[in-house]
Amino acid sequence: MFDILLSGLDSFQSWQVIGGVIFGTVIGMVVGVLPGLGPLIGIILMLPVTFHMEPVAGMGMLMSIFVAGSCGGAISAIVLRIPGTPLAAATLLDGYPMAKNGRAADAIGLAIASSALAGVLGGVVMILGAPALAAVATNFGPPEYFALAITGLLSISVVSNESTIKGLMTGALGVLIAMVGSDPLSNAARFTFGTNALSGGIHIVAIIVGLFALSEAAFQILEGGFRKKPEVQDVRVSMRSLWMALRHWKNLLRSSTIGVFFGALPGASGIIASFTAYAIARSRPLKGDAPYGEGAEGGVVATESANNAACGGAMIPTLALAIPGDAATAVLLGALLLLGLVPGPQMFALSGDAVGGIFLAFLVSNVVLFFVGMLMTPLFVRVLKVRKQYLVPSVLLLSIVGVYSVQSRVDDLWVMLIFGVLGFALRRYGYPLAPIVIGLILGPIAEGSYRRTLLFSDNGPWFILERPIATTILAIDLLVLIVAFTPSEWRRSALGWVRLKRS
Amino acid sequence: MSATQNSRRDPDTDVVARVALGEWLLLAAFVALALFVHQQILGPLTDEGYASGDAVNNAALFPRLVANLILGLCALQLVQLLRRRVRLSPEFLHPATRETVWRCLVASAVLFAYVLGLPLLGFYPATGAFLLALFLLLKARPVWIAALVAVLLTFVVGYVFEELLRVVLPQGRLGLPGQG
Repeated sequence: MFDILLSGLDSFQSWQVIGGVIFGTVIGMVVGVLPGLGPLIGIILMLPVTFHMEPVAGMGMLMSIFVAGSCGGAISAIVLRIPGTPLAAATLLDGYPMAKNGRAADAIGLAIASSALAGVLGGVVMILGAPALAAVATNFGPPEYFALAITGLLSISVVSNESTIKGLMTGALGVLIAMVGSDPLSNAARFTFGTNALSGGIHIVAIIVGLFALSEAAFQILEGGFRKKPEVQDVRVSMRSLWMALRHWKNLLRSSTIGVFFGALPGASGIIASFTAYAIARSRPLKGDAPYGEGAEGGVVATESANNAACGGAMIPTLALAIPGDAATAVLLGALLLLGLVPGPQMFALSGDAVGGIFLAFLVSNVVLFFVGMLMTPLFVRVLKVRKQYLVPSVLLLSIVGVYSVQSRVDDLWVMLIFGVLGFALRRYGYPLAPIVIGLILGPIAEGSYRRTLLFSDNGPWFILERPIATTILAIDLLVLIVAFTPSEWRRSALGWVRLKRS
Repeated sequence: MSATQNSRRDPDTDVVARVALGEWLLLAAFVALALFVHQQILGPLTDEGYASGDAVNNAALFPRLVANLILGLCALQLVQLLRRRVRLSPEFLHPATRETVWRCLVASAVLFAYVLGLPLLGFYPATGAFLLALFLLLKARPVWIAALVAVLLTFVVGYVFEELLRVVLPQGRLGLPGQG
């Protein structure tokens, strides 16, 4: 653990990295606080900016947005009873009653302190877990990489809340979009219509910003309420919150463990983690605490520590195997590629110092989250007063200038607009967008590995089945697919039969 | 929206009274995409000799696989649509008024005009006008505050990208103030 951190110390020690982490934390809190934005939109808006930064500084900034955005939603949940992000949905169960009892500052302080402490714990598990997982995967050849890429493509499509078929369709669409341009193995021009503009492919930033940010802006406008300005009181939090959180140390440790576990499972995310942690904490109340549902400190500690520890957990498969668990980690994976780092087991061997720097940035971002939260909460509460009529155009402007800044090409803006329309149509009819991003990233890996596998075998694609690890991974994928496509009534009756047999 | 109003809840999917036209159009778009991939394989890639041979030279190998996968998934989706088993998205279920739909369409037109006008007018004039138009469209009043915010935001974003990130923003070709 210390070796990798020490190797990253050099790349971490720069003002750009530290500045990026602090800036990312502030931006993360702001997008987390504002209902409708959240860490994903924050990461997407800042993605083009990282293009002008050092890899560790860029990733440090984006991961700080990820970490702080996961915490910021708690502020609006506590103050307004509107979770800024879905991650904070469980926090309002006790956070809002605390605010109603005149303890809004305590609730926000507890949320920030628990998030920071759990984030550090999640970071430690990530630093221990990701290199170990990558070490196991270092000996993988093309068949195993192909199987892993398929797992990544399947996981988010199958486990996500939307329809499995639609998820797989958008995943395949992402793979096809990634094929536009020159084929890296044969140099053939694919789907370019004979133009040079498409020979280098379509830039991932224009695609991601168009799909997510533009479609979100359109839905925000359709929702109306442009002049709504919530009435919020000024809140100041104190360092005492840290001791209040530590009073619930058992709850904090337990909820962090739950968070890391669910975070590491593709598709499970921090939302399930926070509700699970809340349910368990509720059955083990701390003496002297208010009843759960009526302003229990333990409720806020459980949910906030679980959803922030999930960030560290989610980064384990993302960094070690290039398997992201949700849309935010999928975009972080894309950012790694943009910054010249190839995610997956090889990254730990080839760019160990950068990985160490990214780990350090993750740990420090959680510490910075605590101090930024303590000092700037009054500002974040005021951000809630920003009206949609100013917010939506600002988000649009940042999206446009951000996409333009990557290659200084107006063509990219047209690409962004096209993908904005596509993202809107897909979202409206329940097609998930995250699999497109994963398809874009894992598509080339899947194709390259598949074709290399064929090259080295005389047995065609069946060669994969001669490799035990690849076969096992593909068998698990097949099992997941079978379960996903089994009608829910059949699944329920099968579960009922198993329970009956057990009893 | 009216197509699916009479829906009853199901744990996994909504059984809807009538599948919305958009669902059929998106399914048709995916089928068209898969057919387009096959057309490209049989056309340009075959002509250039990249649709056959070993795994290195056969650039059509994987696209064909993915296109066939999409066609298979489309067949499954078609069955779902015929059985009227559709999972409705929160965005679909949210009631949009005629007014907000109109504002969304105008905002899209403003965005389109901005991207079109950006290389012509340059960053500062085009962005100021774009922001002001959107602020007013989203009911920002009084107008002078909206104009002030538009100008300030334009200069702040311009400063950050030009001075801090060293990005050359579009200069414009009309010789307006703020250009070049």
